[in-house]
Amino acid sequence: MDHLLHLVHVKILAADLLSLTRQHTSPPAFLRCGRTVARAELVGIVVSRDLREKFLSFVIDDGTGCVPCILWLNHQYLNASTSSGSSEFDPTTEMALKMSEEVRVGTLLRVRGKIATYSGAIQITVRDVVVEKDLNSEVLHWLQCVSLAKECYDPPPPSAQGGT
Amino acid sequence: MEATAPAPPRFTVADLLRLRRPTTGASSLICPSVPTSSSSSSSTSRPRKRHKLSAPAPTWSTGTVPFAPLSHPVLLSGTLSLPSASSPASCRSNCFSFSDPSPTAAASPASAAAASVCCWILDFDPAALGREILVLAWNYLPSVRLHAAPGVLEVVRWRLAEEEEQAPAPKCNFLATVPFHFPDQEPDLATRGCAFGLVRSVSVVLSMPLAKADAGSRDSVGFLAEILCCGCRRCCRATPPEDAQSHKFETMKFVYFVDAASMWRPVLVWLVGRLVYVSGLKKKMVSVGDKASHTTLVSSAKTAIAWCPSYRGSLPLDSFPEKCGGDYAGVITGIYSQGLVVELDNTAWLLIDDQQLPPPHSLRVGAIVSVKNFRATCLNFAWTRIVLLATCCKTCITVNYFSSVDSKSHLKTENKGLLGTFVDSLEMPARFWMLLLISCFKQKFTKLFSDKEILGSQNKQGVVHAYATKILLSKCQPQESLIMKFCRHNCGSLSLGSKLEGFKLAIPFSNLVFKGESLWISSMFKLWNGSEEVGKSQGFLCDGFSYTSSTKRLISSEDLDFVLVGSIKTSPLSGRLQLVDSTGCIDIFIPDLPPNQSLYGIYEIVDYKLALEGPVAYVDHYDVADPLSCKAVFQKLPYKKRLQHLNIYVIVQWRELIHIGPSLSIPSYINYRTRLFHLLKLSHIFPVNSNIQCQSMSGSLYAEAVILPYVLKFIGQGEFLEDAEGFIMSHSTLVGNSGASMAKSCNIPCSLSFGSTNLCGTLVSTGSSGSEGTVLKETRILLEFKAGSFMKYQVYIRGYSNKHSTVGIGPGATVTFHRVRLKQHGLLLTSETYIEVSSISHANFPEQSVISSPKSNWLKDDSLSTASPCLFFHQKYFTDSRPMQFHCRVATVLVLVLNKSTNHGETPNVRVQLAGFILDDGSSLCCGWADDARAELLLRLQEIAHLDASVNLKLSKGGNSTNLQYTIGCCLEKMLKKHTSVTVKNCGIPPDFSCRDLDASSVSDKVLSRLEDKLLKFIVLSACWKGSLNVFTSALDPDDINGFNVELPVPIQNMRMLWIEEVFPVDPLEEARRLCDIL
Repeated sequence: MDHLLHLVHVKILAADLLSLTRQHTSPPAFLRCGRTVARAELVGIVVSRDLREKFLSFVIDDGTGCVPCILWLNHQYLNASTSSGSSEFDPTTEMALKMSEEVRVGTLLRVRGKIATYSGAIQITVRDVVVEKDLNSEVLHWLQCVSLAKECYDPPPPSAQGGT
Repeated sequence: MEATAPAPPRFTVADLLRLRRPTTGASSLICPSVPTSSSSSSSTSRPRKRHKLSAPAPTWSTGTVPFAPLSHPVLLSGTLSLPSASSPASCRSNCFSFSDPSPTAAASPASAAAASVCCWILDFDPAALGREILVLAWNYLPSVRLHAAPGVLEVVRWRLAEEEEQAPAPKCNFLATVPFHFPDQEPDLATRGCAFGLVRSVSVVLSMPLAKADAGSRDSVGFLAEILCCGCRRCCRATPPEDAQSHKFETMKFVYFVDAASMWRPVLVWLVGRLVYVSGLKKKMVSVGDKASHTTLVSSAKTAIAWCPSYRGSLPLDSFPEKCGGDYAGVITGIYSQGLVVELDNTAWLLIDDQQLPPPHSLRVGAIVSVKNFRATCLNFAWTRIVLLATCCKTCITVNYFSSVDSKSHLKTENKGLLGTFVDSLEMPARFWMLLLISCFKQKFTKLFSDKEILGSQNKQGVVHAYATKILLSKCQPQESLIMKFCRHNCGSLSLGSKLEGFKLAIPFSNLVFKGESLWISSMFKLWNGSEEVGKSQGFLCDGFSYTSSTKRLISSEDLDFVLVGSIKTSPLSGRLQLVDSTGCIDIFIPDLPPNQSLYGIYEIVDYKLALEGPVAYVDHYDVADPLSCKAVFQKLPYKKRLQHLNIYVIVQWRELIHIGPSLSIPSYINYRTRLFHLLKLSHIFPVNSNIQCQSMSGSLYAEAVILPYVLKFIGQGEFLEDAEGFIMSHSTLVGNSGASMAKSCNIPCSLSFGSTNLCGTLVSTGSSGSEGTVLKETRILLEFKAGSFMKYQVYIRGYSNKHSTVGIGPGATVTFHRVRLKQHGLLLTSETYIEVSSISHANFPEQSVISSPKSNWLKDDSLSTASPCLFFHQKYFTDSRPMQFHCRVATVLVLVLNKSTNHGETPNVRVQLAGFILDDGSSLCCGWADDARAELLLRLQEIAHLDASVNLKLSKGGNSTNLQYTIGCCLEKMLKKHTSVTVKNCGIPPDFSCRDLDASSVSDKVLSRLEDKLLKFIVLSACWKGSLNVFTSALDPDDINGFNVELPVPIQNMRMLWIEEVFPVDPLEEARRLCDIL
């Protein structure tokens, strides 16, 4: 089976995320050990929060680095432009707003989203956030990052091994 | 004629009566291209010409059941006759009767013993009366009341039955007799009176008191016909005229068709504008009021009517504007206020005089009607201008073309109450405004207040009545008798005329929001086109803006011509003060609002400023009707806010708020009859509804309360005493009656102010208190309000005990059930019940236990306990037959099939028949399939089932919010009760997810409502946005899911398929330890 890592939310530490190799394509691609990654999952503590009308911008710190994240809250504009009046019957915006309320400074958060760049810096365009009530989740995430890196992300790609 | 076609099967009235839905039928389903020719000069030309008018394009939505066509041709035959005496009163005045033919059938209504229906007929010919006709095209409208009167037959095309065999002999007589019956040919001096002339108008059926000589007998029942007669000498002789040219029709005569002849009214209505000769009449004096009397011709047993088919003259127009006249034919484009208000051609408004004109059956949207004898007037209201056709006792409404797009009959309520009487007493312009006002108030407040408070009752004015009285002052007109009105031919001038500026629109707030948006769009449009300058806009005050920021516009109420009428509430979401009605709400800013001010009731605001605030941006116009038009108000158009960035609010000074009712008071029966109240201290009310509308909805409300050891005794209303000492002394007997010991222990004077009610009383101990009033024991009770809908809470009961509370609950556990209902044979759990587990036994977990504890049953299952954690990335495991364990999250939901389940008793439950997930464990994606409890866990159904639907499926006020009184679980169950099974398919490409890619459908072919659609999206979205779970899986053959017709997109077809055997939560510490060991 082809290993399509770019479809997966790779479990990653902030330091590794911020050091991904960026390819100047459109949309930008990010490489980790020669493999393209596009989505990431991080666990860390919210250290800053800035709520605007259309988005929530926050930063999570997992001890290895700080990752800026952006959660968009304007899905209704997108829907309004595609089919009139449907935004009222699409719960996405309401749920995103509810999610934004859970992002508080000091909480331990699991963040999933797409890797993006803004003003040259890597950030996460958030798909969803989950508040982790058990602090052991952070430790488990570190261990999973190590385990997955060892088994899945960082072994040389098949092409580097000469292919099979 | 369609001679070559095979004869269609016969259809009888008895067959018609079996139809239970509006139906159309025809003798031939092939439309003949050429109308059958016949003698045009004959009054009995057959077959009848096809109606020339084409059906109007049904551009409106009536919302009623359309007429269903019969799939095969049928030939309906029956006898046309005058209405039978057993017909409902309104039908006797307007309809003919159509009955199954019988050998003795005749024009006399008494002979119509066979099955019969009310009948409206196009191209009526009096010659058809009493004869069998073949109905070639028809509509049938069953009665809306089951087991009541039969329905209405609308005859579109017909011919006489007997002409199948022989052609009619052409008639050349000047007069054609109307075959009511055949009077004696012997001259009778008493009945020599006759009338030859043009029928001008016909009154409704009325009763007329008889003279004193006839005292003791019943009032006579009949109707008046106004006939413009010839007064020449020849006409005074009782000989039938032979031509019309030598006569001048200038003398007004009134003919009173009484008793049996009162049944002739439908024919006389048809004869309006036609030349008739009525013979066999008696002359009688009729007193009109106290002063005038008229010589009136009265029908007798010998009365006969003949009409002149060849006469082509027309009625002369009356030169006096206050007199009715004219003829208007138009398409009905709207019917409102129980049929009292009819819109014609989207232009003119017909106001039907409730007292005199019962709305005919065939008055439906889409019909073409002809209105004769009315007063047309232009009403200049403050906010709009309309053309009103005011009807009166002389007005006749006939149907020229039946509607097949609308089947709704508009039935008036007989029980009018004070409000109905008040409306009837008003002049036409004021009456129209009043009906509009009632429509507005009903839309705005009947969900927030009781009908009685808003509309009033038989003996009490409601808010709308009191409000209208304030505006209309004493503009009610005195009521004259019908006879006086009819004979004087003067319906009175419209004294209000154009003085209608004070009549403003109490705008529904959904229309107001829409109006605000329209004003904003216009303003932006002008701004963008450069036709409006900053700060110099017409009628606007501008606070200034820049192109990159927002701007605010303030519009004075003087420029708006509508008033704001609504309740004032605090928004549970924003905390802002809002002006609210049932259609919507708008923020209100009251700069000088006094603190702690009660804002109960409905307020009118005449003087205000409407503020529009939003970003400067070009906004496209959207094409919709004027939100202030009468049609928009009557129709209750469901406006929704479209410009989300536009902030609309009103600024009002406190003094401008005028309270117009209803007053907050303790009902009088409590004030005066009840003297003793128990005191309860409410500790908890549930469910907690933050939505205003939810509070007014029916449904159970529970309250947990403590009974206090006191009772409150009242002595009367408003009887305040100056000091407590005087109070106790003056009422010592009252206190003494409850026991001397109590009087000693506690008698605390108190007063209670509640809205406009003030009550004085005393607190008396009930004896359960100890010395100095200390409470010895408290009794807790659970109160249920509005019982009857309790079953809906039992979903949770099972879910709670089986699923939510599996941890610890089982044999040997000690638990306390809180907030339960006490029933005769046990305890009933409610949605608010919670279970406290004091101790548990690990000995016997039930085998069917599914979830929650990772230490529970599955780890005892040998096969699962041998499953080792692995990654989707590890392809080698997928070929093994042993179970696999993954730590993963739901990326998207591919397919979801929900069924109604009845496995758990009488209350239907929700069952996940199949769910397909794309799972992501950080190494790769995998396609996992699950059903039942496993799928419920991955969907987090139990987590979201108890969430408040009104909060999580938030809709605008105009939406179908009646479903929102429940939780998500209740809504889901309700949906499945309706649809039995629903399927959600994801058309997107995983792992990206958007609600727009979800396609929900029902197996029952019913269309899912938008709320149901939103509910399903909410469930899927919740599943996709949650944390990690552990799943035990086995390999799945893709063929196993083929039975569900699941079409998988290409990326998924290449993925490994897994069947999810079990799901359990992650214990991070244990997982971390295990992983650490591996590393």
